[in-house]
Amino acid sequence: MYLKPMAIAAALGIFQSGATLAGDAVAGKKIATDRSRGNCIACHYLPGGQSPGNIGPALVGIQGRYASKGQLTEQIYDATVANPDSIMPPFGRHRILSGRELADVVEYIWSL
Amino acid sequence: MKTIIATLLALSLSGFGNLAAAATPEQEQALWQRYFQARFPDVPLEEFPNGVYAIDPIGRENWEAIEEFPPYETALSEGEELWNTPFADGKGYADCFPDGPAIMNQYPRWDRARGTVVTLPLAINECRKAHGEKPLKYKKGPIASLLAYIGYESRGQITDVKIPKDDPRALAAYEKGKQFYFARRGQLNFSCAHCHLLYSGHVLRTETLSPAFGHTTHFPVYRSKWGEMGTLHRRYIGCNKQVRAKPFKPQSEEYRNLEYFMTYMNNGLPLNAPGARK
Amino acid sequence: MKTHLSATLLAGLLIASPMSQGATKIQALEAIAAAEQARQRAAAIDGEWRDTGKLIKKAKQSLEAHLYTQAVELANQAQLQGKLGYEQAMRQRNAGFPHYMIAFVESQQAMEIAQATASESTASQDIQPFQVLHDGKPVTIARNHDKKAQLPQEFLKAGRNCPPFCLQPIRAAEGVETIGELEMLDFLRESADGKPVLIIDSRTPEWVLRGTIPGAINIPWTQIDPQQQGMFGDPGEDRLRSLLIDRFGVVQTEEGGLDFSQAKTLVLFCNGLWCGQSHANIRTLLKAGYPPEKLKWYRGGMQDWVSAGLTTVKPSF
Repeated sequence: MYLKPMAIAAALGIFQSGATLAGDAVAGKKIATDRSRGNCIACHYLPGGQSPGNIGPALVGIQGRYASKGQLTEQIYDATVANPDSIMPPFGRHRILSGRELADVVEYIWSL
Repeated sequence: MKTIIATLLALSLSGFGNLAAAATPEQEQALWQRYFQARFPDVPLEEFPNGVYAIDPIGRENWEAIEEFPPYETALSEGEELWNTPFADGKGYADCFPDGPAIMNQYPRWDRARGTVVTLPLAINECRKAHGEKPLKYKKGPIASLLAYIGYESRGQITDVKIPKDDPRALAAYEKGKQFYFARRGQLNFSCAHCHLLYSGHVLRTETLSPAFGHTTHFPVYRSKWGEMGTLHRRYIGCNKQVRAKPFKPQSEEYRNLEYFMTYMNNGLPLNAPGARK
Repeated sequence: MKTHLSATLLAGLLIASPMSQGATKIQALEAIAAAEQARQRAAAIDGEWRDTGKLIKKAKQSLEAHLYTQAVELANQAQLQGKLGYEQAMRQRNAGFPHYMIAFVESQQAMEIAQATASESTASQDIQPFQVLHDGKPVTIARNHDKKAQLPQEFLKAGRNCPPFCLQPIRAAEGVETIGELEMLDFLRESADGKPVLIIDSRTPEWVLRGTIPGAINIPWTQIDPQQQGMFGDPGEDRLRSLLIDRFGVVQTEEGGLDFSQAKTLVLFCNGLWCGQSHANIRTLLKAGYPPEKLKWYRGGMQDWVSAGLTTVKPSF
């Protein structure tokens, strides 16, 4: 049984005290460049980012690569589902980011 | 070259998905060395001990400038003094290590009597204990200075770790070290191999990831980030913490086994301790 | 499977949300105990995470400060970390060299092999034809690719008597190299290039008439065998000496001895593994003092040469 992306997104929405699915992209950007939180920039090129790493693919044109925010959420939640050899930390499964942070990051990355 | 091809053909015939089960340490060593040489074809073999400076030209320029006035010089003189200062009982390190101080390539080694991997820092503290001296702490300070001096005197020696075939416990230690190297750990789910093997040469934020081939030749190291010397196990601890895994104690069995595996993989490389790194 | 886990964990996330009602001291104590148990379970297999201990410590501090809800939350986080760390270590038990490392090395090797073979001769892998002089006339040595070609009559026989057609050992004598077709072709090229190499057909003339290797000179074994009377009745010994000095580059010293330092390399053959004529020649030459390293024996001889489809030539007289 494949957990529908919307289900995760929905669960996150509920976690945010019944708010809508939309996260805060501005907050998401901060998380993405914060070394102690998402630190996405350590491995990924982010537009406007300082000294991005080149370990993962550049985070541009995201909507051309992911069909929905739900799919993107799944990937960030646990990248090893799609690729067992992935070295991307499982931000959701390992609780590196909270549900709210995850939603914010998704909102930000989705906009790239 | 032909031996490596033959080895790899033998490997591929053994049909592994799990190389851990099928191959011998010799085969794995050949695979390791071949992998890095294929990843970095322009780097001559003897350059790998220079780590990231073998593959990053800008970093290398800076490093060469630093090496003109090496930041480990103080440690070298401190280490030499330590080596030559007698213990309270009148003996000295030379009594424990008659071949010394150029003894770096004798470690790590399998100690048959005790059934464990003995590293140089461990041996140093055992020497001290045998002569009524207090042990040195393992991450930095005097141990690092002493190791710097020993390492400097040992420059040019060739890494030559042995896994005695007639003691299966030695192979078991190697296997444990290998498993440690390739296992994901910590909240961030990284293994040593992810950064230093698979993505070696790539950039993690501002830092180029150094290839593992050559890691063991240049410790102790003066790390600008530390502002002082540190040992290999100090770096192990830092790396483990960085991936949010609980680190092990310096000179714990886990880290000694890891050092055993890593150094064996680097057999054939010349030693060039102490090193200077960012 | 993993998606079920995700669903479960998410559900867990929800249950542990700050929305839950105030916890009691007992609940806090239980949560902390459970967290500690999970932490130890992970630690036992070297799978403990960095912050688990800190979380438990903070939970205990919250407990002491009577902040039971917070204590439960922190303890639950720690417990989850312990559980995840344990599962991670269990999954990683057999971690070892990854498949992509082997794949990478193999693909690099395949590339190298492809490059190496591409740079080799792009023409056919078979022998490249080349020219030699035979009886003063140019002859091209090449390999026959006519699949219908057959062996010459005299080399079709399967039954022979010994003597005289005895099977030959692989080695003619100590220090004398036995060679095959490829080496023979190399020597023929060298000889044609003017190097000090002689190719010698050791057979008696009636054999040579049927065909020989282009570039070879005929020195019948009977001519140089001291036991034999020689072709023209001359003692074999004198004949041999003349050959050595006149044709093989051997120098007579003042004392009447022989200096072989400038002697040519001699490549001897006859009919093949059932023919002893070249072997006999070799023995004679060695007895006369010829350096063994300058004698080569093409043991396969004409039998193998024609079986390989290589060019033969009949005397032009």
